[in-house]
Amino acid sequence: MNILLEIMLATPFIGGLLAFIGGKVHRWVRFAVAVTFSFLTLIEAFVYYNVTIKGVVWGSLFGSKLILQTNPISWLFLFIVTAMSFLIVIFSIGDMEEDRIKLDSYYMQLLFVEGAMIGIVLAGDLITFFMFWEIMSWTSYFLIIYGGKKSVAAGYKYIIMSIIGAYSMFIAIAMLYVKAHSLVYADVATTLAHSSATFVVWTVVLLGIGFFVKAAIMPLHTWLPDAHSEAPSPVSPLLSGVLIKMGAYGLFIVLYGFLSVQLAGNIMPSVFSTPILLYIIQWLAALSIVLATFLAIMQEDAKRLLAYSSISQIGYVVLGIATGTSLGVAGGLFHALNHAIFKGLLFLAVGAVIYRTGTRNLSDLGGLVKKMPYTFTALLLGIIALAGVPPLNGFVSKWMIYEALLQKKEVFLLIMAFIGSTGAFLYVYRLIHSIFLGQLPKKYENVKDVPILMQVPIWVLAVSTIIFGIFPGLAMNVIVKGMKLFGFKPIAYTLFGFPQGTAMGALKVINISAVLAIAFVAAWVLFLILSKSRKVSQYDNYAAGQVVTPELKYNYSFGFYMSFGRVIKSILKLGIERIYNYWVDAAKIFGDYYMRRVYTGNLETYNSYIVIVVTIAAAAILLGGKLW
Amino acid sequence: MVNLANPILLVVIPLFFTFLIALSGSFLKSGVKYLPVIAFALNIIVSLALIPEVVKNGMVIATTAGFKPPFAIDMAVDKLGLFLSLIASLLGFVASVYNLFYIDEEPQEKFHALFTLLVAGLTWMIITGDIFNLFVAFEVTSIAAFGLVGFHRDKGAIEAGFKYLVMGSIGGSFLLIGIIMLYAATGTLNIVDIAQKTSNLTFQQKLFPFAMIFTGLGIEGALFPLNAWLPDAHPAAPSSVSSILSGIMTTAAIYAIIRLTNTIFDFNQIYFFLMIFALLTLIFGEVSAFFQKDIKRMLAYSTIGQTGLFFFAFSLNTVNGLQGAFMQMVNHSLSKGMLFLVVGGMIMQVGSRNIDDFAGLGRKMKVSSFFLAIGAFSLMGLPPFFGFWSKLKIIFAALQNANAFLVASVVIILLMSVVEGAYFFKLLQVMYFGKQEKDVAVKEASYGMLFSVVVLGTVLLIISFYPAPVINFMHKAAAEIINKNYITLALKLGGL
Repeated sequence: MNILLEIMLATPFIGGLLAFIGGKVHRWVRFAVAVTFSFLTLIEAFVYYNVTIKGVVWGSLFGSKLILQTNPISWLFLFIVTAMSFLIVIFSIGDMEEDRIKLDSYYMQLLFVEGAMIGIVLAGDLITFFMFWEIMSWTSYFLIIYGGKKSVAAGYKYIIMSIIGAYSMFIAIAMLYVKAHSLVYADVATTLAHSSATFVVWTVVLLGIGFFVKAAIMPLHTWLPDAHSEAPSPVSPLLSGVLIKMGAYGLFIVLYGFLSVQLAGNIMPSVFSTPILLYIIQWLAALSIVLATFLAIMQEDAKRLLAYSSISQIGYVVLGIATGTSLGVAGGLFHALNHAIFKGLLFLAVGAVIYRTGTRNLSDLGGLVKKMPYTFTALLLGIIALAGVPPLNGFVSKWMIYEALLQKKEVFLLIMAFIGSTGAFLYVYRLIHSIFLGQLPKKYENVKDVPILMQVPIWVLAVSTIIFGIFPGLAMNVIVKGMKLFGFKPIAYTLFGFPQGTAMGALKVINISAVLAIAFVAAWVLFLILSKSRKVSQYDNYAAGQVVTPELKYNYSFGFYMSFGRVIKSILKLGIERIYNYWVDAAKIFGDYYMRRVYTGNLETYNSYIVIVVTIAAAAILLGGKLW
Repeated sequence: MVNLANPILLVVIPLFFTFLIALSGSFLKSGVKYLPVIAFALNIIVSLALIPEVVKNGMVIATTAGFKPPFAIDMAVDKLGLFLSLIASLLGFVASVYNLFYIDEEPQEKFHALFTLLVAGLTWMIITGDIFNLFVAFEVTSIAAFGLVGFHRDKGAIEAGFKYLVMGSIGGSFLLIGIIMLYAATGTLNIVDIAQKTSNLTFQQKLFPFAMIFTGLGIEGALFPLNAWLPDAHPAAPSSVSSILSGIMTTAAIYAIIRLTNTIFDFNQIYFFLMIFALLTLIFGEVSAFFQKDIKRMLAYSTIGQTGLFFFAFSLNTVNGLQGAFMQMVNHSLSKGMLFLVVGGMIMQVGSRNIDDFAGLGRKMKVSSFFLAIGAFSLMGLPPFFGFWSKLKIIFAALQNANAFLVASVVIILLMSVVEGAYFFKLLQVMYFGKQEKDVAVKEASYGMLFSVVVLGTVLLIISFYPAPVINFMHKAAAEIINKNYITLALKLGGL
């Protein structure tokens, strides 16, 4: 059974190569291979459901063993990776069908990214982890730039920031290697346990920079809005739903696999009974939640809106993980799964809209509800889940995070988390309103719903939002078991929620949903009884002396939240990106200036360099080698 | 049956072919171009035949003219020398195959003669056990290279060739001065013999010849600020020559510095100084490469940067550091050698060296672009390519016993790697996703040229996915150099 770990890791890579070769034969061969192999990987992943394997040695490098391992936490992420990849492959078949030329290596890259992410979650040592981390970076770069002209610039920003993040991790890994000459997780934990506080903080910070770049935690998020919105439709859910979770996974491993709350508490001061390092991470996450929510509200581009929303939602994940309590960490991990599901769903649904209309500009869309009813329903489920309304899946995980913060009495963070959640209502409403409600532009009168191959993944995810919403125990089963391995107190749970008398208090999603449903029905009935409205046609309207025609747009769709935007103007102006750009430009000018003065192209100058070197050497000799 | 495991053959075969080409050029006409291919194929066979011997004894020594060292000239091949000569022969072979389809300008026989001489000189430099021979090989290499850089005979090439000529000659003079001083101090030219006699010299007595030799070899080895000829010469030369210049010449010169520093000049005080050179080389190389519009110039600057990287690893003066340096040398030789060959084919098709004109080549020259991407990835040090393993090793080695300066150096190295990533990814995205504005008919490079590229690419991929043998071999080679096994082995095997 252990050898299967290696096979599972190899499956997507082999599949990718075969898909590339198959594409030369016929495109259906390519599709068939891609679907088969991503499905195979998913099946193989299920073999490891709730299985813990301590370590399979698959090689050794510079005296450090290379290890693959799995445990329920790894499995959670493995499940996210394999399931989403499979759905995305299916969606791609429908979506990317049209330009055949560009698809040459698309599935290869897609499966390679999947393989790299599997490698990350299965890694049992930091070299393996880092290796697959880098492979993930460059393969996903190639996926992003499939999107055309604009995406190239976005991809460039992404890869440069990824490399910077990766090298920051690299320094930490090298520091750890030098200390213990082994990078197996268990040995790293021992090394850190016997290290000074400074060393531990440096290691965590350097590793954390790498993870935060990938997880797009502010202020390292600037690549995400561009990359996620410019990437092709099927790639965005992979990036937003899955890839940024790798940062969260890495953070979890570092904080609780290498360190532990007790250990961190021993070597550094605590605030709100949280080690200060974790507390800072919590604040960064909370700032991400709030600022990204505000930015999402102001977007005019559907995918950009979702991209900012991803930054805000990954903020919840990181906030939960950084609380350090069983409840909070479980909530964070659960939210990672939930976010993958509903953000995947939203991106795919928006992708479906783009597929039919060719635009993702919110102000150009509208009234598609009658034309694309299935997509509308799925997207509706997605936004309800995102907003954290029961009975869908975003509710429970967010609730757990709130509860954890409340128990720690971290009121500010709690308020920020609430703001993020409330703000989410604003932007998700914007999303569904601008695309599906309101007036249908004339050019979209012949729009149909998307083909079945694109519907299937959307609806699988839509149903999942309900399943994981009503049965949070399904996920808790894995998470709690896994967290026990990392030394957390297990929290009691049932299939439907949390029983009375646990750390959290009773929570049963069905009951809450029932209450909500009753309230909803009551309101509906009241509305039906009491309303004096009559049904009118959309154009049976009157606007300032003008009769409304289908050509005339009369509902708001541009600058939807303009007055709100004025309130938060100072925040929007913050412009972290401008600061980065300023430094990059300054470095470029500086570099160019000096390069031109060194390599002048003038032979006399060049020869004088030789003279300078010889002079320095002569000086060294005269001084007896004591130049410094 | 001739005993093939003789290092002298590595030099004699290509030298013989050089003269053969020069002599037969007038009546064989275009036939001469096949002669270098034969010469380097033979060289590869000899190198391969040497492997078991070197693995068994640790070193193979061959003497000439019936005398015994230190009076006779000898060739000494240890693990590192063997590996580099194998790479030199391989690059020479693929580049000469490439030349069959690449060189159509006259005078062909002169080009092929010089080309063979260039690789012969480089191999000679690597395997020589005699310090005066090192100088001779250095000059042979330089003379061949001067001619080849100016081969295209346009204004740029001649200017570049002239600059190189001046600076290279100065370098040769310094090298010679250094050698003369060593000879004056010790009375011998054999490396092992000198090494035994330098122990009773004072630091200053050793430092002067070292400074001279370092300056001389540093010019060839592209160390900042002695490398100013390189960004002109590499782009001006025909691509197959650039491939050799970038792939082996800098490596060979750095190899000679490593060899001499560790064997003859046994001092520890100098390494900090060398490290500063290495870091400056790295910074100026990579940053300049970022600003280039000319693709070959960009690769040339990148060569400077890479040289800085492996020279830095060497200047750590530890087994691990040296191992990292050797791994990076191998990586650089193969990847950069391959990149220049690929780019040569592309320039032939596009008719320009400007990066912007390479737009859209990823779709039209699929095989070439694929191997260009692999070479670039390996140079950037992205997994799973070999550059990743060597970069890992270098950083690990640098942080061993780290002080603040070394940590700062590591940060600089990684920052420069980011810069390297920035220009290589810029190139790749122009190639794969740029839009070609000019309407030029571009097709894939000819099969013969692709053959060379594919051979190098395959070797690179093999050692990327199966790095353990190379890593272990390099570890042993590095340990031998640090532990001064070279001297003991040479003494045992009659190198003295």
